[in-house]
Amino acid sequence: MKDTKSSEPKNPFAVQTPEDIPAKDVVSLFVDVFSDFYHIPHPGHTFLNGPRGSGKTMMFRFLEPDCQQIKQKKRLKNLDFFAVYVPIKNTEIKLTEFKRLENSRADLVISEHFLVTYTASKFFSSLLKARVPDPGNRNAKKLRAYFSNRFRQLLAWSGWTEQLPEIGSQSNFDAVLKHFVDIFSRFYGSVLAYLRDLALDETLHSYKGALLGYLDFLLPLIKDVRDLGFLPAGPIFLLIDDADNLNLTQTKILNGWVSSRTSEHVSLKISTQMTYRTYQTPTGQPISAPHDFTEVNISSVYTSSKNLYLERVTKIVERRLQMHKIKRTPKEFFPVYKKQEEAIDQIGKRLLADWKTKGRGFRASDDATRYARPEYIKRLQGASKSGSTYKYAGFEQLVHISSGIIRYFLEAASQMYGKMRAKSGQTIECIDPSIQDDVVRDQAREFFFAEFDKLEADEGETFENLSKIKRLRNLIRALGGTFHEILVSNASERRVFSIAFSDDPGVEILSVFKLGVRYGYFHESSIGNKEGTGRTRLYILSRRLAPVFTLDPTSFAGYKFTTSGVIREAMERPKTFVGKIQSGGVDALLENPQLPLFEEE
Amino acid sequence: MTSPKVSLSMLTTVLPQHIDVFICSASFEGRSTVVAKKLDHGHVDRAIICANQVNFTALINSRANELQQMFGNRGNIVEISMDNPLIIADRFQHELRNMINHSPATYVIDITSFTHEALLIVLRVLAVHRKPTDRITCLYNGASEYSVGLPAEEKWLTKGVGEIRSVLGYSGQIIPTQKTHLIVLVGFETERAERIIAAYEPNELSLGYGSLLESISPPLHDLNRKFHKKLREKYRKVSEFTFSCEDAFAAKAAVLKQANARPDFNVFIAPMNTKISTVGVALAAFDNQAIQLCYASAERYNFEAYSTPSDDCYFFDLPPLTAS
Repeated sequence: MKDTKSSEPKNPFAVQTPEDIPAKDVVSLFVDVFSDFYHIPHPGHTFLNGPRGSGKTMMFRFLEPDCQQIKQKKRLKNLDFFAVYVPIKNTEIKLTEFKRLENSRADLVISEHFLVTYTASKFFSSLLKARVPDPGNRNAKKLRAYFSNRFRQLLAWSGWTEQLPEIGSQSNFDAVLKHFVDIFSRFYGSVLAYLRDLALDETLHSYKGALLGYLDFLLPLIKDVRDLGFLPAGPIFLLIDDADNLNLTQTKILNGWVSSRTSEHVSLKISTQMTYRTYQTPTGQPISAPHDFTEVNISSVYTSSKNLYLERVTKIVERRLQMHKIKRTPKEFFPVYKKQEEAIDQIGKRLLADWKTKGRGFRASDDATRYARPEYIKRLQGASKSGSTYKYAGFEQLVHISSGIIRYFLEAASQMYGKMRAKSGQTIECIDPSIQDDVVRDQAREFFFAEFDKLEADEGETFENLSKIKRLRNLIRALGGTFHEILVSNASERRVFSIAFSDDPGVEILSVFKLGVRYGYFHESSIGNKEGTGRTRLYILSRRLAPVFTLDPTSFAGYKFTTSGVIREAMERPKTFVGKIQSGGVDALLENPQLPLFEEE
Repeated sequence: MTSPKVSLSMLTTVLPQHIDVFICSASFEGRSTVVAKKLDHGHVDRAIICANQVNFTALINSRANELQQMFGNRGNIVEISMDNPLIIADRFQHELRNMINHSPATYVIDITSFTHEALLIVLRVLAVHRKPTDRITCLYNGASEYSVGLPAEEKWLTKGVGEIRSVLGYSGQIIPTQKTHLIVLVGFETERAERIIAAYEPNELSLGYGSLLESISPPLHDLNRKFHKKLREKYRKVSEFTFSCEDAFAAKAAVLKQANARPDFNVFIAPMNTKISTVGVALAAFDNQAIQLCYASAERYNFEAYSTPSDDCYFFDLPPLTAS
């Protein structure tokens, strides 16, 4: 067995599983984003939605007590809350055997029991990890007494008929905790054994054993343990990470916990990768925001302002460079391609000078900001009949291309660092613009082509026959091509990455966009509708695709209104669609909004 | 170590003279019929022909009918579903129960063109239903080429990944407080492997590739190494290991060794290489019940040019299987 990269110097941008990062490193690396996501570290049930890699698990890791003690400079008992990390790994909870129980009454009770034992096990292992101080064994004594009395009683009420193991009168705090962990592992194991028996059995047989529920067991258990006095007096946060991995029944059960409004004692912080199965409870009642929970969408936060995400990534990169003793600012470490930026500056100066006579923006600087880079790309295209010599380099450009998802930035940066080291040895002071450009282009190509097959779209197929994947690919091709045409046109807003619907797109079209959101090709948001009477859906093309279509990723303020009929054509015949834009202009198919998404800063 | 291999034309010389039950899977691959064609059909009592009825129905139906014609009214097509593992288990069990009335003692399985998941479920069902004295022989026709006609860097077998799930009957003994060790037996499908790795975000990742001397052929080994390397480069901390692509027992030993290297971890294994190595993984999971097996369903198969059959057939007998 070989650990393939252990002998190499550490790459400052390597992406690690947050669970495995020591608390002091987490505190050093983590950029406090909770001013953007206020509800997360405060009492109350919260859903935190964001694509994979957008920093959800790192936020949860930062909330764990070992990190909070360092951050808040407080002892465990004095923290504002005690957070328990409950990862929902893909098939630890969602076992295929559960399909045997579908549509049976046993499904709900056994699934709830399974979730409760899993969560209780995580609660006690968090206590172990937290290294609760125990002067004079006072806490151990309290916990031993709890185990032998109230806990025994709670179990008996849940149908437990076996003997509990005896705890020695001298057992220390950790030893008592291990008894709790063992008991819940046993419960968990007995459900697994039951499920194993079901695997090949078409007839359900009865489950014999205790059945633990949230309201009658887990909640009182957690409250009781908190009230023993060694934990913070504030709420216990259960950080349910990647709840999309629960099956439908388990999801409904979790929603039932949310609906129980217990957040004063136990606040559920639930992260999803935007594919959460349902917001219904087992009784069929839906849970909704803000009634039952608050909701935070990372993409929405980072697409509502151009600079907020840039500021966050700047701090993250500064910290990583500092940790690796690289004395460079992010902009110095990821330099721009100087020749290109000088040419763009020249164009900007020309636009400033011409503003009085030919200007289009409110201020002269608006014209320079909006048109200099698109104009440069246009000239390159005119000179070489291909925009491919445009360099995607420079810190800001790289941040914009990562499209609000920090892992995309870090993964690209990590690859760039590796290539740079291969080129110039161990000491890296900065990344060559050509390496930045190569990596970003490779990643964009892979992102687009790896998911979609390389077959050309069959333009003759009808809409109904095209698979959803094909429609999505066609849609991206059509919109990417259109946005490029807008970029090299004389339009007043050329940096367009989004479309909003001026009519009802219908289920069929929406399902294609939803697939795109799931794969990360689009971000979904909302915006005031054309009539000013409400809101409509807005879909922002991922700027990771900018190199594929030669787009300017540095802003996505522009968007266009469109109709379901136009989008249907884009999904059916992308080449014809872009051809119409080329011959008839963008206004032939798409309409302009009154205002941009945000003002350029 | 390698499993014995025989030319397809000599296949009957290494098989029991009388086969009580022949089990195979009709697939879009031409390979799904080459082994059955070479059997002495008159010496086969019953044939169970598994046929997926959800995807590629027309192509699979034609292969299933071709297989059934070989065995006449002794061949039975069992409709299964790639999307629903319960159907695979239930239909196959139903067939076996019917057979058991005839007291079968010799089973021959052509493992070539089952999906990894279906093969694992079939093995689990057999483990439950076989008698200790029954003989189960596995046959495997290796491919001479995959993704036929494309250069190495463009080869593909599947595209898109659907559900990632635990394999029915191999749920393992997960302990909630333990960390995760994911072992992937890399084949030619990096996208599927990447999606499994992303879904598990394991604390420990082991990526295995076929050892040179135990691969189906040197060109396939080179291709496997390319895909393995491509995958390995994406992850920071990876343990590498090799396994046999042509000997189930050696593959079993390799994965058990890899699993045992992290004793306090929950172990998940994704078999994605040859079906022989997948049998090895099943044997490992029978031995170590704590191991969970997982599978990523594919959204699209390269059904037009998936593989071409070779002229050889591997054969080996399964040991008594311990059913939990």
